Amino acid sequence: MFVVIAGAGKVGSNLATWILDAGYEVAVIDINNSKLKTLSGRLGDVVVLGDVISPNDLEKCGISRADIFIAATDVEDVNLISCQVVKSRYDVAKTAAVVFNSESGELFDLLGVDIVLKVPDMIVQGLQELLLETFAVDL
Amino acid sequence: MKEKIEKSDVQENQPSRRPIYRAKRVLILGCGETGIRLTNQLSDSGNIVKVMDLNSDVFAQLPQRRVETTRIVPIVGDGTLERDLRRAAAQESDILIAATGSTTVNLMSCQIALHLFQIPKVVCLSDYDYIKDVFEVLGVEVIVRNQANVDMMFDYAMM
Repeated sequence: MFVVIAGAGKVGSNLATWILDAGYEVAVIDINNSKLKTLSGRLGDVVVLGDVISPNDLEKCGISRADIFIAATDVEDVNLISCQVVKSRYDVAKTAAVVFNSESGELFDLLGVDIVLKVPDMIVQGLQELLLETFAVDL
Repeated sequence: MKEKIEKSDVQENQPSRRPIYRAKRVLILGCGETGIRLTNQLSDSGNIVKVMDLNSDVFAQLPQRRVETTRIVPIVGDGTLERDLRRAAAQESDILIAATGSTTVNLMSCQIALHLFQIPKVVCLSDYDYIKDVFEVLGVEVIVRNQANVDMMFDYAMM
């Protein structure tokens, strides 16, 4: 399995580490060089400097043979547009995008992003589970 | 008999009294240099223009007389948020022109307008030509900034 991750922030870099540890292939693309340097120091030669919505830069990190594309930058609209570019031009099995605004999730679904990860919803869900465990209350 | 003829004459004449063009309701996102020039030009030709920007300070550059007479309506809001667009009554617009500084914001707003508000015509200003074909297929008219000028956007809007 080959995964391309857009964004070398906290989400992207942790995800890349985990995928490498699990024994799969990964490439990370980001426009910010300093973030990439930190990551390449840790993970080695899996990073590409480039714009995540540019097909040229995406091809540099091997998008044409990727199985999964995960847009995990900290900008929601960049995540949406990069998923759409990848989906329309390349043959990836799944695209996933991180969303910071719950109400945008619906739009992402509508526009064909396969997996929409809504950050606020996930935090709330986690906290609900924690509260249920701790206090055994029915929320 | 005479009366009848006059009546039909009046009826025949009625259509010609209507204006040739219906004024369009245009929603412009981004009140930067491009946004302001577009607003002025579209308003000059009799359209009703709403301009949305995150920063209310930029609205000071709009012609104040037109703002007072509500022919230009400034709205503070984020064009990528459905609720802000709803507040601006985006569903009643004939055209949306996304002219903010960010290509991705423009593209996202255009698709919200197209799919959630069913605005019949959406125009997007882009910094890059390589995404043009991807989004033209999806119904967004993409104009690349370095080859675009306001006149061209104006022509697109009025077409």
